[in-house]
Amino acid sequence: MLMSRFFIHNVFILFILAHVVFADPVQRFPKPDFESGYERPILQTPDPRALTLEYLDVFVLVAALSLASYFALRKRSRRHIFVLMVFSLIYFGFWRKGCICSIGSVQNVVYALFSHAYAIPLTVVAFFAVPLIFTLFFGRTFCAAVCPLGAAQDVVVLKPIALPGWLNQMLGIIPYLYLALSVLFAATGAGFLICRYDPFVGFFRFGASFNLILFGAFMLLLGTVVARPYCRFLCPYGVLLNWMSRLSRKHLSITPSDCINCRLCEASCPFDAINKPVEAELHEKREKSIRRLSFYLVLTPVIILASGWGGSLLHIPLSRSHFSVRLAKEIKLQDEGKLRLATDETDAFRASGKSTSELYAEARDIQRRFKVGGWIFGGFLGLVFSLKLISLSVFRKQEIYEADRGDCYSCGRCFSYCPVGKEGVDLEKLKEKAEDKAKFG
Amino acid sequence: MRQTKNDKFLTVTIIVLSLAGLTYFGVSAIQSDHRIQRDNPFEYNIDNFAQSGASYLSYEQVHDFPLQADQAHALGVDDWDRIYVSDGNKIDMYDEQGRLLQSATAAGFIRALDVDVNKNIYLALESAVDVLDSTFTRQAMWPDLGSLAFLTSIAVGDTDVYVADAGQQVVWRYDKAGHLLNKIGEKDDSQDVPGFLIPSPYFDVLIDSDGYLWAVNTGRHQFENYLPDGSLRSSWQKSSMSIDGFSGCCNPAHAAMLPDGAFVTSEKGLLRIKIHNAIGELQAVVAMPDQFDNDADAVEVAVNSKEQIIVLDAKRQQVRIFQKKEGPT
Amino acid sequence: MAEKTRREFLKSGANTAAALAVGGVAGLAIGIADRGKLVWQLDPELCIQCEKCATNCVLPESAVKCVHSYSMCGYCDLCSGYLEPGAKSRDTGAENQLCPTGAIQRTFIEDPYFEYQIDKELCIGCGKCVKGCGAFGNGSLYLQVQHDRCLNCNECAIARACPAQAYKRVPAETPYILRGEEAGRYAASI
Repeated sequence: MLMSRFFIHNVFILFILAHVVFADPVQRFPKPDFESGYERPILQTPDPRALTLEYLDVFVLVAALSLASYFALRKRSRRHIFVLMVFSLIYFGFWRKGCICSIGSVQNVVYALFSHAYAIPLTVVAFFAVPLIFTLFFGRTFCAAVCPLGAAQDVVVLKPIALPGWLNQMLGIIPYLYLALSVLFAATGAGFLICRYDPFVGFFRFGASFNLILFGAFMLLLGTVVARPYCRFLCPYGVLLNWMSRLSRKHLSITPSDCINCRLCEASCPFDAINKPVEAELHEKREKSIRRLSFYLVLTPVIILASGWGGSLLHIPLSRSHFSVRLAKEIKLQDEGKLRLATDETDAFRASGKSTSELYAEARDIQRRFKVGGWIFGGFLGLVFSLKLISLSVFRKQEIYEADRGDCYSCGRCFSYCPVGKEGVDLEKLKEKAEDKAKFG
Repeated sequence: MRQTKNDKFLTVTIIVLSLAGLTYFGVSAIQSDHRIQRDNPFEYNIDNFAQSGASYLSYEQVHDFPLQADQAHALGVDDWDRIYVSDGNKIDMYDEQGRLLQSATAAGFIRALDVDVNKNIYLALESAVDVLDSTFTRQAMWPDLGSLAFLTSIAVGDTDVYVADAGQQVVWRYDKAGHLLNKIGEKDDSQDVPGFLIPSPYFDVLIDSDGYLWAVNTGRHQFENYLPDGSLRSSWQKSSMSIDGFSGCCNPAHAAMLPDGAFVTSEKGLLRIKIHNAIGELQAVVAMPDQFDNDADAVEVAVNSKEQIIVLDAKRQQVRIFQKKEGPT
Repeated sequence: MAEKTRREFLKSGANTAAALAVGGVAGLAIGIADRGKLVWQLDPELCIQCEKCATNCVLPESAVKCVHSYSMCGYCDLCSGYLEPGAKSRDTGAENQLCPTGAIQRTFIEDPYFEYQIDKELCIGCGKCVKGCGAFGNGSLYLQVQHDRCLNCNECAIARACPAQAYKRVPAETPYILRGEEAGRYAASI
């Protein structure tokens, strides 16, 4: 690995030297001899943002994650989380203009692993991995107070409504689709979808295309009643965080000690991420559910294969999103006389001196990658769908009110609803009330 | 009760409104992925100039032949109308039909060439002159002109050889044995020599029928006629974007001469070939910009004994031969 | 109780496995990673001056602007990068200027030389002068991403729209692809 880095570096130096030494004769041409003592001005080339500041970003990320985890798990303070969230919104959002971002970094990592030409900066790897590691220890505290996209939506949650369970489940599949598609695009070099359709980056930069601003604006508008719609129904990084959070060593809890099932926190979560107690007995016979489960288990490989095949069928239309494939098609149509119009792209290609056979070979290679990727893409979605089916059909015992480890953003809204440990609260009375309520509706 | 009803109404409105907006975005995102046809408000448009001069067009292409040369650069014609084309370090001789007659390899990249009455071939390399005899055997290699030199043209007369050095912005005068006699064209106000202004490596020299040097001062769009001692004999200048002149920082990029002393000029930028008479008036247009590829470099030109214009189109890897149209035009 | 410890054990194992997976992917990425930073730049050799730099940047005023390699410039009076084709006269009259925003300043130096400077405040990066300079002149005018303006987006919007695919990520230590003697500025630093 070190070797390859060296190699890339050296090739780059050679390239630069070659450019200077063997440059076009036009470039090494003597300037006029001035007699008036005139001196040529120096071409100004402003430097990019310093590397140390990039490392500062990583430091801020780690610090913010540590604080967020401390606030959510130890201090149990929504107010502190909120303040930190606003800070992150300002720092990572408005100050850093939403670009450097953990959500997008997924693509950089995938692109680096599949393309030898791209040497991913270490800071980007950090932005990818550090939140995941933190989540493995403390749950999704990244979502709570560090992610600027989450923060932008969190501050506009006004009158959240609870979505029906089936709708939540169905919309919850979209992030998997988005993740799979983004990974496929990044791996084939077709581009970074997540960055392309980032709804809030336009606000962070105070400028974007009209459509993107519109997208962000409607996202925020929807976010006033359907809380954090991007996080719940789009965010591809959220899929990874969800997985990590399910396996996390520690996690925020609604109550500081034992849940008394008082039901006060029931409606406190705007994200429908609180698991409610379910009645102990099943409504259906055990054999029936076992039969259904085994049926689903047998069905799983079938679904995976079928949807993998379906994904591979999509490789032609999907591959058209790649620049070279689209160019190859245009060149081919032009050469066959079916396309009269020349585009800037075809003109640039013809001026480049590259042969069409080279371009076609490149396009075929990309299509081949899309075909393999299409199988994996489809198979992955099939697996996700099957697991969802299985998880819905498995009965899980739930005795107390508890944050759903996968879906909970650790925002801490529920803390204040829990009466346990608060002074002057008659817990017994609350418990009775809740039981009454359960009995009589 | 009323309040909740209002609330519900508001919630539903917000959801419906935002979903409509998001759908609009989704549709437009998919549509915008299709390639938009070019519509450049900042187009650098010289179409008007590219089309002007059609009324002067009095030549037509009569023949062309392909070259196996992806580094074609220099062009020459001898008194027997054989065509010499360089390809990198290689020099090839063709007959008029395009049959390859003979080849040889020079000591470096050939930037310009000329052939004398004895069929000796003078090849200007980047900073030295390589001389081959009629059997394509090396006769001499003249001393190197140093690292500043960048030769762009060579003209061989009966006794003198003029070499254009764009790097040092002078013309070197040699005898045929390769002895350096003097340099011509350094700025000298007392002699009214303006000095060559060569912003890029396009700097051509010619010898007229009286044996005098003509140098193309491309930065000034000026043709300058010199005595062998370096004093200026005469000059004419035509700076203009329109058809009757030359524009840009270094035009005409290449030139050749007809027996009557008229100049065949080849330009870059707006690729075209024209003929100006001995005092610079536009006489005819040989080829218009639309007869060349868009992104091609200026073409080398030469004249054969039939007063045909020989053109080296390096981009198309062709030699193209133009001839005056018959009858009234 | 045994049930519970087994569950705890499984969970801890899964947690460790996930940590290893994240660590593994990150490790692979670190293996090919660079400690430096990458920035976007366009290769002037590939540029076709389609104007997309001016209109596709996420910034309202593009981060791409024209630069001038003075070492290559011919300092010509009849500058095809400065003057409108067919300009009536060679002066600074607005009707004679090619630049749509008048961002090129022409200054007389000495006969017959004129200096041309780009006013970066005014330049919008449309590349019109670049095309003019490249067609008739030396190509001393060309476009470059200005790193005091560029936000360094993860996916550069201009790079995506560039019909010549002239954009690439370059190391931040060599953030410009310059021409002429100016090109040596970054060759020396590595």
